[in-house]
Amino acid sequence: MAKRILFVDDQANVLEGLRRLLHPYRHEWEMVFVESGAEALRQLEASPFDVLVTDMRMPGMNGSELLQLVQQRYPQVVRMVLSGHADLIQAERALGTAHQYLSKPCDTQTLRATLVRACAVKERLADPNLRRLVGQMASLPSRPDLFGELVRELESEDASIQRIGELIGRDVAMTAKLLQIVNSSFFGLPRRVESPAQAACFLGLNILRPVVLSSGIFSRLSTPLPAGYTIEMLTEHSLAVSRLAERMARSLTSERQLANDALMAGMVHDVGQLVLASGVPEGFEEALGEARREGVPLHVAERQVLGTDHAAVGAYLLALWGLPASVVEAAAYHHDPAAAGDPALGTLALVHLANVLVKQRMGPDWMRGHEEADREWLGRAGVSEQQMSQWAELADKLVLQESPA
Amino acid sequence: MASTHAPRCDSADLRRQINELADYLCGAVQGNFDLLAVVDTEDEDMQKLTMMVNFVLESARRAVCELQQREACLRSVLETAAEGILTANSDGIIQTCNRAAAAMFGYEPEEVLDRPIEMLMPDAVALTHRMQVERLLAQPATVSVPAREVTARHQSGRLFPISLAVSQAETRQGRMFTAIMRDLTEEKRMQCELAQAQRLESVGQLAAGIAHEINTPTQFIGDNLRFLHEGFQELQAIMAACGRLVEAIDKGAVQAEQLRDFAATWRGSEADYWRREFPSAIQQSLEGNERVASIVRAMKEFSHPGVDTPVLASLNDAVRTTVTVSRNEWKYVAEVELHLDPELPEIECLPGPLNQVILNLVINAAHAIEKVLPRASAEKGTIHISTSSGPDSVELRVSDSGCGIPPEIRDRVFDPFFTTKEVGKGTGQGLAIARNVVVDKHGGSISFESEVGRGTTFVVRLPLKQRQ
Repeated sequence: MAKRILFVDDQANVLEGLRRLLHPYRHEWEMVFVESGAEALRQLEASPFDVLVTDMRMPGMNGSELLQLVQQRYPQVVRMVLSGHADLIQAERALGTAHQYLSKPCDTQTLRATLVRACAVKERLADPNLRRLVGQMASLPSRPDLFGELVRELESEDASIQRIGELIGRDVAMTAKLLQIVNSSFFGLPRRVESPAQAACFLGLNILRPVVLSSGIFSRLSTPLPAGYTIEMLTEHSLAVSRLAERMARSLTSERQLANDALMAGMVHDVGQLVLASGVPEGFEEALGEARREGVPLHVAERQVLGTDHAAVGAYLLALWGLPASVVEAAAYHHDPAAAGDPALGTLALVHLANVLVKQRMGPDWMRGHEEADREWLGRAGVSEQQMSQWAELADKLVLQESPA
Repeated sequence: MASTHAPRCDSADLRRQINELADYLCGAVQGNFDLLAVVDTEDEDMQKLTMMVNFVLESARRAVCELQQREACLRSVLETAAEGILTANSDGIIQTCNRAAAAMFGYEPEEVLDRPIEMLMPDAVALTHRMQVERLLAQPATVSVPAREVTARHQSGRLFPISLAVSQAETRQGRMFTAIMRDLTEEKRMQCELAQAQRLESVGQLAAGIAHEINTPTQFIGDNLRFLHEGFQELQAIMAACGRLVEAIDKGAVQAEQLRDFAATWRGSEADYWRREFPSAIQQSLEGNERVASIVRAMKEFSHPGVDTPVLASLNDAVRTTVTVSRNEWKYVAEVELHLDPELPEIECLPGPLNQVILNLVINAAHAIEKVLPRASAEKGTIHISTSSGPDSVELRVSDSGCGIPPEIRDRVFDPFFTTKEVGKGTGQGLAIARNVVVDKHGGSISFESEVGRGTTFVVRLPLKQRQ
């Protein structure tokens, strides 16, 4: 079935240009072009759309008002902004309501590629209810202690951006959100960043202060999570996988790109657990209980109870937020790399293996030792037995170093 | 007055006593009040006289003391006054000069005393000064000259602006002139800086809007060009097929197969689609390009860097330029209607500051309209701008269909820092600067008519020529 995209801009010339630019996609996409937010709402009411692309400043209903209504009424629609506005206020307004942000003038390649990816997001998650749940989420819960520290640091007179970046980099939800901000051109920043800390430096205090303190897209965990599951557990595991995957990448190549991707993918690969734990706590608790009782990996139990797993949910969220494909793939297939297709020694392979190696060494009982690495797939990707044992040693060292005892 | 009980004095004694008294009086006349008369006498009349003399001496001492105190007080008022105060006689010779006056000109007070006042003026001013003094002398001493701005000359030769008020008085030495002066250098600099800051602020605000105005056409020009590029590649295939066909025709050997091939190429292409879309893709790109060009042109005209003396310029052009650069500030809330008098004469003016005035009025109009528009409605207000000319001035009217100015704040809208806008939307400098530019820099006038709920019209009148 053709994907349906709705374009909204008060400038007819912009719509005409887009229509012509996207002419080559006319068979795959059904595109509708309207000149106002009110007309967009009429279209959405009449028939479902997959993607919404809207301008920000328009007479009458502006972009952020439209985005907000669509977020409430049609959360499953991928919400994107295409705006020529250079000011931060507009970008900040879009932060909580848009999934991705593109700046005018946007080059053809980026625009087309972003739309192709946005149209494909849906395939990652079959359950429409979960898609609605994720689509509506503007923020994910952060570790209360880290969030509190971040707020204190931002409010202090001599706030240090390095310290702030470091705090964000230690939290799964804040890292994911920060990557969304820098990967989408919300503030017109370079899209390729090395680490959450560097991303924070790019944004600077002037942007981070209002974003963290008043936009509401960073939030503290306030509702209790299912029994036996803590946000500290997730953070500790994610940090360890992130560090190990990065070190593994560095042992492979001196090129920074792979190590950077591995670091970030490692940190957010289990972000789906946060979505499930805070969005469908009963189902998640049941899956957790089953994993404990049956001694099966959590994602297997999730599939039995929820029909999907945290990997798919996490990947859906990350793709929706426009994170790089390598990070999304790593999150989607970190339990089952073979499902991703041909073996390759990339971010996915590193996160997959690092995840297993860390789980064998730390974490609560239900997390430990139920998973094996797909040695066959890794072998075909070019990971030798010798390499494997070297990385296992690396994992021993890192986990020993990390463990608080 | 002789007393029967008192012993009599002889005349020699009396003479000595009178002389003693006279000495005391002499001392007092010379300013020595401290000693009282003591006359060694048995004579009652003499004692009475001595007492009276002492009484007079004491009163005189008190009076002199009080006078001295009053004078010291007056002198210290004069000396410590922040204003420069100096007096000159009718020949223009400086009689007194307080510290502030001397310091203002870079002298010590004694360096200017008894010297002609012209030393404090640049030559051009000195020339007309004498005539003004003559004119004043011809009038009664009650006539004074209110404060006005004149150019003064510092000891270093530097010229600087002062405010000067002159009063006169009739004294025994003839007419005496008192000048009260204030150095305006700092004040001018502050005004300049404030105007510059406000200008930068509105330029900053404009910059974001202008970026948007440029980004939007850039987007669709790029999209259209990409489309034309891709379409042209397909056209090239068709043209190549045409070429092959023409070649065959030229050879006189067109085969049915070739014709079938050509028909297949033609049908496989989207020739109809391209034919339909190309003209408007090109047309819209050209329009977009013209839009970008006109914004860039207007930006250049708007700022007028480096022009700080009046030049002949068209107020109509200034309006058009300003409306173009500020488009992004009003287009979401209002339509702008221009009614510009095509016969409007050009005026002597400072185009940069004048553009600033028009910009401030347009932005205020847009904000006033924004206040009354219902939220999330596509409704817009109107900003009506017109120009017209009179015998020796031109008039600019900027009307909005906005909220109007409440009567209770009407006398404050031109005050610096007065604003009713929310934080971040204005600093309250816009109209203060507008008045400064129109009234002080151009000798024009600015006023408004307003009705709450109906809108406001600002009226700016500018003289055709600037006084030299």
